[in-house]
Amino acid sequence: MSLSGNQECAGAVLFTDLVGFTEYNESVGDAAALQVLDAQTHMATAALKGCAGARIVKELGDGLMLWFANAADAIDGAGALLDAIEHARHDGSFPLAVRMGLHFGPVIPRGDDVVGLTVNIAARLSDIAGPGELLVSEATIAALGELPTPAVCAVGPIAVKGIREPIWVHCVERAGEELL
Amino acid sequence: MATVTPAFAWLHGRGPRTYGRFVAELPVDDVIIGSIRIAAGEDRIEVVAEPRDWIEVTGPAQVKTDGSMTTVDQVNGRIIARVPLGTDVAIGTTSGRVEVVGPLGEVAATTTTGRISISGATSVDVRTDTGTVNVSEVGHRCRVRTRKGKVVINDCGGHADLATDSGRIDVTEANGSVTAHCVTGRIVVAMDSANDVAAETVNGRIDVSLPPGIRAYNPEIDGLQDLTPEGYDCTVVARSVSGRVTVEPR
Repeated sequence: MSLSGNQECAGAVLFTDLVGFTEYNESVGDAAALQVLDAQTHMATAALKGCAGARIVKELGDGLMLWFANAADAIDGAGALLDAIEHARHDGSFPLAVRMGLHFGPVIPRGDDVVGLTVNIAARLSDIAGPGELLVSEATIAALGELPTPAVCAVGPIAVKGIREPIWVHCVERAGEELL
Repeated sequence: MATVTPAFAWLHGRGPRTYGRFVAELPVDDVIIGSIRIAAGEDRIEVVAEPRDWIEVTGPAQVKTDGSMTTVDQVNGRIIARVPLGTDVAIGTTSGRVEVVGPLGEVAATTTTGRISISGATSVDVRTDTGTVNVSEVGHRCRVRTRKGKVVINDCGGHADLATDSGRIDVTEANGSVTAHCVTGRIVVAMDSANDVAAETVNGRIDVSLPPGIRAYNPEIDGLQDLTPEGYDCTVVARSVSGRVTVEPR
């Protein structure tokens, strides 16, 4: 579903976070750190191609907030971005790992931004993800409906401020573990 | 998910609420082993594996089951769940204490500031913010994420996937490959057999000790190859921005 006006709509919010960026910035300086941010944004833009209605909502320091119109595109797009970054880490062209959290639910557009509990949940998932991981909520998997679901393993329930029920979380399994 | 009216339960108030003992009769089937997932708050949770065919939950909780998965929401107060051997368990707490005693299947546990103890599982996925976690006797994969907390793992039979920001992870008796990542924290791994290691830190410290006599291949020093060359026992890849990584035989 596309964002328009101030009408509440359903979609997927993805948060990315570069692991150890602050410490990296202190070690290499602002110019080199900025190059890393630019590279992340470039890879995210490439990963969104083919995902109708998807876009980078905003840059948040060393992370990104992205919007997808449906859960299938969100999982595919997030996976493509994760693969791109991991590949770049493996060949030495990107210095840091990324962690990601993805949740599907209702949001309210606010100018170019989106707000709502869905945003809070996605951000919380990103907080508990490990380097090179994509965590998704059970609601995101349920939103796939009859579409094929990715291979996942259970992470457990987490509490999110402002939400009474626990959010059940899964980790998307990636094909093969690569050495650095 | 249907709500099953429990047998031998004392019901108070409305809805599927049990104050007392809840028993879920599972299908008698040697192939299907059910799973249980528990959402807890600040009180103590115990999960104990026993040679039995049914799940029994004692304590104040909302319990639902569809026959293969049982979901437990802690109301307040201590809960004990007795489950069949090999059951998969997913459990989360904010600040409570969690004790899981196997042998169990796949165990996933999350906590913010609580204390988790897991003993005897096929695989483990543990995540904490500042809590303390102790894990022992994991048959296969062990995955650990901690922000600032402390995690100790004894006897991991499979791949150990470890990550911390500023906390500490100690692994003794690691018998599989190791992936370790820390920002400013510390990871210490004692390996009991020759397996591949991938370690990365920004400005923290990672120390991996190998069994005596092991020849570790380092692509950055010995040349880039896809597989461990003949004559070497394992491959070690280490990367650091300004931290320290040591991988040495004991």
